[in-house]
Amino acid sequence: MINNDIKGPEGWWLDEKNVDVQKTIKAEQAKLDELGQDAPLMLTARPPKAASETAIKGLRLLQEVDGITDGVDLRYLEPMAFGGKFLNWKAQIVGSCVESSSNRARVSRTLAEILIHGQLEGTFGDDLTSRKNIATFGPYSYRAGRMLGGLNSGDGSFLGSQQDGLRRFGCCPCDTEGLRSDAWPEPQDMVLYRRYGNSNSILDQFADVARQWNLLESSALKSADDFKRASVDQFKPANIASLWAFEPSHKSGEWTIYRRSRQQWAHQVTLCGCVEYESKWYAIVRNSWGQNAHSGRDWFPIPLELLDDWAADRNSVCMTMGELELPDTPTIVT
Amino acid sequence: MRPKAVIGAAFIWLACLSAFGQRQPLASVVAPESIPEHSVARIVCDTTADDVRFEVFELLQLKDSRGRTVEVIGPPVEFLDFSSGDSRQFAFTGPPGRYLLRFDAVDYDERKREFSTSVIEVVAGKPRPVPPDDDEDDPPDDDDDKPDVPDDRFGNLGANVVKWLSQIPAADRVVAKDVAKVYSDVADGLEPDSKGQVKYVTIDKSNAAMTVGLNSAIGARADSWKAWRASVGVQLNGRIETRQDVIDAYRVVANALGGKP
Repeated sequence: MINNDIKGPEGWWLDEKNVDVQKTIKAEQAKLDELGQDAPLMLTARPPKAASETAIKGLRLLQEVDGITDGVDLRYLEPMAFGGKFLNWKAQIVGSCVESSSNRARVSRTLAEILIHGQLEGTFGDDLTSRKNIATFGPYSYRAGRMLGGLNSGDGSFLGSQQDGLRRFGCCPCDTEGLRSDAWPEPQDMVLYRRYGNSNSILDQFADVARQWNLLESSALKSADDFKRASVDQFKPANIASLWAFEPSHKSGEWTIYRRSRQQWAHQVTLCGCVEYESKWYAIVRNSWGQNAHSGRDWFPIPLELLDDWAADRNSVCMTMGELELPDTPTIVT
Repeated sequence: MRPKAVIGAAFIWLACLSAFGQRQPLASVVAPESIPEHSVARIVCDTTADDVRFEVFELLQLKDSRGRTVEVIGPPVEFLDFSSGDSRQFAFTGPPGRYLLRFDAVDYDERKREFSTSVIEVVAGKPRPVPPDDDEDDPPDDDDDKPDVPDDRFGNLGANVVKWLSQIPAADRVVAKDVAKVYSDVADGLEPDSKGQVKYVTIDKSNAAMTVGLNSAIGARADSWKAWRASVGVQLNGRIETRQDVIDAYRVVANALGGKP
């Protein structure tokens, strides 16, 4: 068995040092119920949008180079948009998996809205390093979710309250005046990240700007078919919070295929693709533990049937990253 | 027939109708069999349900009489919210040939999704006017013009581009082909290239490239082209709803100026 994985911090819980899994699961469910009552429309999947066949053709072209013969992996929107290169995401340094995975999904969805659906919207920036960053400031959305989840110490968050935070408090562009950090879109200073994660001051200071850019839609997924529809037909990534852990299983072509391990991760990751490779269908799981965390990659494939069990697990919560409010395109220049 | 028998027969007929109704297609598409090239086809969608949403799912050009698909020529055109009997117009700007329109009819209340298809033959020849569509804005009044470029869905943008071009002094019109190339290049940059990469991710980026390109192409003739650029801008911005619209409109301008299609 190949075992060269690099494990990072988790964060789907109240406090890493004092975790009570059942309490976490109950609290997550309560947050989801609350969200369902407050914003039932947000939790209802919107009808599929028109998609540009030309853009899809371009996406498939990039996927085919890597042997993907069908389906959609939204990660490939990055090389489509950034000169053939995948974005170099920084590793999660504290228990911020809920936000770190959410930010990856938000960038994928941003690119899908612009390139695939042809919406006249803009990005917040052009890279993953500067203040003119395509991703929004992680600790802002992290705190919004934690505040709504009633979390004021330690690390971690809930997916339900994270989505509610994105709905109610929006996303803060990294170039917002007055924002301070040692790195963008997420601090690499653990103390700074945790300070933001435990204080409402960042919300108080920047909510007026950030509320313009909120999450409009996020629906629950309970099966691999649900995800396949969301991903392949609607170009929506998803986030899944669960106790499932994974490990390398076997090789198929250039890929190392993963299976469920006996460990337990109280963790959230991004489901960014549903693809056919070497005549089999896989879900592409993107993690936030660094570019080389999983057999030299920041992602790993799992058989689609395994996702069926994972998403249906009573302790898993899986939600799409649907429509985002993004900056409108100004007048077309002529 | 006695009244009871009449009522009984009516119930049976209604029951049959209801049962057959469930097996009827969710929607069907009625399109003209053939249209002249560069024309607008009116397509009527018919549905048995109240709240059916139509999407043009694919617009494919067919190669031969057996209907073999050779090339995807267009992205989905737009979302359409229809009631039974409503119609919409589609512009066919591709070359003569057979086109397959595949509609995806979705009834979200009933969670049903069905396809309807229709083949339209686009034949070589002059475009002919189509009856006005209630759901579209009226194009600008061009009665005085006899444009040598086809009508388009941007309100005769191409024809107007030619008209406005004629108002530029002849000596300054010599850069028209250079201007056309800028429009064509920017349109290309908004779509994936042969490697699947997009040069201009956002319209902001293409705007910047357009400004630089046009300023360079027009150069010292800027004053003569000022009115032309403003007029194109006003008309184009009033019609653009998607990125694909931007691409298509830029290509219409490029074509009208004599650039590559």
